[in-house]
Amino acid sequence: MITVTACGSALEPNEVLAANDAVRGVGGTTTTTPGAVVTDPGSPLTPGATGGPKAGGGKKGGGATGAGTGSSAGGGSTGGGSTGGGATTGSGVKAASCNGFQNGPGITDSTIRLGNASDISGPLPGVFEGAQQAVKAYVAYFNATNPSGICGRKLALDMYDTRTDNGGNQAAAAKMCETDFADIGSMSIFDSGLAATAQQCGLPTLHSAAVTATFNSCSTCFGVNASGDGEFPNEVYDFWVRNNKDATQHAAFLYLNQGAAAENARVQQAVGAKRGIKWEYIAAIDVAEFNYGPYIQQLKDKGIKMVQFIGGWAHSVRFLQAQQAANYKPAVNLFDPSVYEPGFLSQGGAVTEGVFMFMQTAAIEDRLPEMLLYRQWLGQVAPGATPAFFGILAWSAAKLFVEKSLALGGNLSRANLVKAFKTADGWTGGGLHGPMSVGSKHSPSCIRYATVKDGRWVPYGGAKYRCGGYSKGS
Amino acid sequence: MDAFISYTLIGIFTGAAYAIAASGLVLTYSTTRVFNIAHGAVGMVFAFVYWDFSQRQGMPEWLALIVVLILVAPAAGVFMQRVLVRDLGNAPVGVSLVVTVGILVGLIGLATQVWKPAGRSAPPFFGQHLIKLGDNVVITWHQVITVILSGVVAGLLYLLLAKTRVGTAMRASVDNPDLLKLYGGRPQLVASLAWAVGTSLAALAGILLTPVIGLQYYDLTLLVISAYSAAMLGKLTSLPMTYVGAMGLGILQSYAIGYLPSAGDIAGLRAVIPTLFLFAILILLPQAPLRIGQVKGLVSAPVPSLKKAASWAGGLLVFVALLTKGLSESDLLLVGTALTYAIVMLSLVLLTGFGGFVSLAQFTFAGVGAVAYSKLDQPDLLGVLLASLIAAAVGALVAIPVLRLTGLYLALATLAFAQLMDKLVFGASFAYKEGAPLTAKRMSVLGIEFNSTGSYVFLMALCFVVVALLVIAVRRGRVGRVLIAMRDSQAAVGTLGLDLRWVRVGLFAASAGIAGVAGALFAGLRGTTVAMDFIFFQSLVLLLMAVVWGVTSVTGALLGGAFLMYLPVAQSDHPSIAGLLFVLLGVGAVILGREPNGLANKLFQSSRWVIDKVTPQVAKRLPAGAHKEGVRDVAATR
Repeated sequence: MITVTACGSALEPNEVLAANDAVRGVGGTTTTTPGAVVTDPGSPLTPGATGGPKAGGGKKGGGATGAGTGSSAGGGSTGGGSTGGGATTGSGVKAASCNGFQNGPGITDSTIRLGNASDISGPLPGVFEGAQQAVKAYVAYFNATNPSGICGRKLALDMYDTRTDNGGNQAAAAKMCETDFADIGSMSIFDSGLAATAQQCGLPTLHSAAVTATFNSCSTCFGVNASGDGEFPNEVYDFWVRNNKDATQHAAFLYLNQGAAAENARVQQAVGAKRGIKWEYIAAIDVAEFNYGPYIQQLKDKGIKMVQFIGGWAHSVRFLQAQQAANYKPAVNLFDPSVYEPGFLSQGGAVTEGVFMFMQTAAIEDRLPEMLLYRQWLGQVAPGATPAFFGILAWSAAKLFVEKSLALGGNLSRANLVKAFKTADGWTGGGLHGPMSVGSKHSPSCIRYATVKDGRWVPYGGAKYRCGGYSKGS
Repeated sequence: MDAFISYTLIGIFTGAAYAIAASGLVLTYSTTRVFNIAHGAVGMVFAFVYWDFSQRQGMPEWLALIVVLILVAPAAGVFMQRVLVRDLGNAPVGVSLVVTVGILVGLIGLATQVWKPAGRSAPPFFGQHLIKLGDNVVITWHQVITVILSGVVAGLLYLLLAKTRVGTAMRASVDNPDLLKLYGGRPQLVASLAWAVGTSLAALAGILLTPVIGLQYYDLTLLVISAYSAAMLGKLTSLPMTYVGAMGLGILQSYAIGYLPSAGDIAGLRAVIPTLFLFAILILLPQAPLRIGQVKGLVSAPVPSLKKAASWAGGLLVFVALLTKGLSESDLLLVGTALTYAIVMLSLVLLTGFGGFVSLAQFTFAGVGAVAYSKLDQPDLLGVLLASLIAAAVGALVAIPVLRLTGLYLALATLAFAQLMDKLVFGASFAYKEGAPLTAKRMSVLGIEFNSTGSYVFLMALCFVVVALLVIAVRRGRVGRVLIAMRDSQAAVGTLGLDLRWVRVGLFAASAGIAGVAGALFAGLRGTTVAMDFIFFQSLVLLLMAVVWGVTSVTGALLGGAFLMYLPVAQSDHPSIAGLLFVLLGVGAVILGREPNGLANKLFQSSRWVIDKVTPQVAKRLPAGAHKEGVRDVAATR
């Protein structure tokens, strides 16, 4: 998959789905299956629209989640059992034989316990709650649609709050080492805190996205959206070099100087420069800085035509409002997916009109089967919750866990699951995102663009994933 | 030239916002001698109230503005003055600081409890209509209104204080409230009026800044630190100088962004200009003379004998040893964190509890210890000792330039230092470069490894015990008596011929060294630390916890450390009342701020009450001779 994508190819979402099937060994080929996926490239990409029925509900805490239709196909006995061997689950993956299945940490005769440790409380309460809700939704979906579970065992989810804190991550990892079989779909900006503990106990750790270099270097840790070793997708910049060369020669990069943003900013600037962007102004903005006016004045003075900004969505709104107050409108206002939040559009209003965002995932309102499932089951477990970018990645993480576990069957163990994750390259989460190098921990190669039009996100340049490989920025 | 004009106009707008916020601070301080560190939090809460009225409930903006500024905010100001900060002006500065920090934390909790996190927009006045002053110079009506209002506020305040009877009474109430009473004045009434106006000004600043900043709990709250700098230029009393300071600071910040390099190490300077401004003013401006003619001795918590302390220490070690056997790894990490905080609090016991100096930078010193320990890569006793010495050296370096400062000025100087460390040092390439974590190994002692979390936590408990015994030993010795005397009256001690300058430097160094030990142990416990572990806001909460549980005793430090660890855990476990827990902490600080011995002392008193009062009563009610009979029975069975 990497070979294909590195040639600057463009993939439709249904092609991505087919590629995913190939990775799973279901489709057997990367060719497109006509009609397999219904996409509507012109549909708005409004974050926050929850699909699916509003039923059920979830309570924060442990325990098995989901309605659990039908009876479990036997619990299996400790140390063996053949429950579910050879069955094909609703996910479409052929399950391996369960012969020789061993219970272990987090696995009993009836359940496999998963953990999700995300930033919920802290300075930005609820910031990554979407990732936790998505895993909860997937667990509910899986339990409801797969009565035989994984070798006769249902999934249960323990949810932990890492408190937007390094220590919170470490404590959660220690808890998961004791209680859970694997850490799935978590999201924390301080994921460095859990790396050593997770590695020490061999905890399979598959996060929505890898954030820090420390996490990246942990041998049992993976991210659906891997950050690589200072890597970044080429297409983020190649797209503009092709389409607005003039703007790229007068570009500026501004970022909020907090947490990992400074490191990410350095990598992205370097990759941008390699791909032909001429940065004429680079500035780190302190988090306590409230008046962005002087920065906008700099952009005006230097004749900047393309601006990239990294920060939370609220700071992005502040940045755009300062642009409007200074009567400044660059040709390209570029943001990352952190602005793919309902608050960005509702709080920003008119100032967000015409801004661009690159994204590694499909849009929330894309009518992809997997996206519909995510929205439907999110509505089941968390009525009123808004689908989110990190929720998509978390759902994908849970899906990858299930598929690898089914494929391992009786050989399912922490060590074997880690080995299985290491082979997961070209993973697309059933079409939820472009091919991801989960196992080899490289940056995504494929992205797509969206822009705000009439107060809604709509695809820009088509709904295709644009795949151009990645470059190292450090 | 257009650029220069633009930077100047933007700076004037920023300065005007600072001026409104700072003038409220000056008003409350100059009339009641209470420095309201929660001034920004007050503005934040009323910005939310204004948003609630105007956006959520649909009230016309002008009406919402009037309701907030004329009714709600002044009423809240009167409540604060009458209930929360009453008579704080004559209390030691540490007390008023703790009470107002308590209000700050409580207000943040209140806002997060009432207005749950969500995207909220607060449109500027007159929308985004622009005024073009040239080809490249544009300002908004909102900016114009802010500047005009700041001028109006300054003018009205000047008239109020200098030209009216009420204003004269306000100033008189500061100088001598009793004399004012004799002349028929009502000091409490004028103080209430000052707080009503000051709170209203905080609300106005918050409302004007919201369209620029957004409705954020922390951003609006902490912004007022820039206003401290402006107010300090006027020594918290002069409104014209405050106005000059605010404008100068706003313009300086704007020019810095415009003309200082935006990349490289020097780029970090732009973010710390208000802090540098504050630090420079504190150090350079002439200081108020020492308070003389008063000796205020606090009733201290009882100091245990070393023998008694050692027996309690043994008990604690046994208790922790049992915990290490019974608790899970994740819970042990929490115990280790609590012990870290407890050791940091011991540093406050020495500095604040015994020495009487309020520091808002103790977590910063712990951060220095953590960085030093990680960078030294010497995971043994020597590594911890060196980390402690480096932190102590930094503590001494802070103490030397602020030798002349006392009370509030000293506390603000430590706050400025903590902010400088956050922005300039912890993010530098030799520390947490680009926010990346630093790794550290767990220390060994004389070749004995403490790799398991249980054994390491026990080692941390041992360190706590050693430091605590040292602190108690200091308190019981000659140095301890000097410290207590210094705390009670520096003037009196100076009169007796003691040169306190080097005692003070040594005290700061020792305190920072203790915090450095905590930081080093913490780095070993965690394996990785990040700059966020030591941000200055943590030091504010630390001070609150220390005061609530007792900043004058080792027991207070231990209990405070445990609860400081538990606070975020409780907020996480009970998200629906997360804000309420902050409110409770704030209320606790307000109630207990005047009693620095805190809840720990209440515990001591209750145990003494049990021994002195309850036990004799119980003994009386027992059958005569039962006790002796019981003893005989036991002897017989042997």
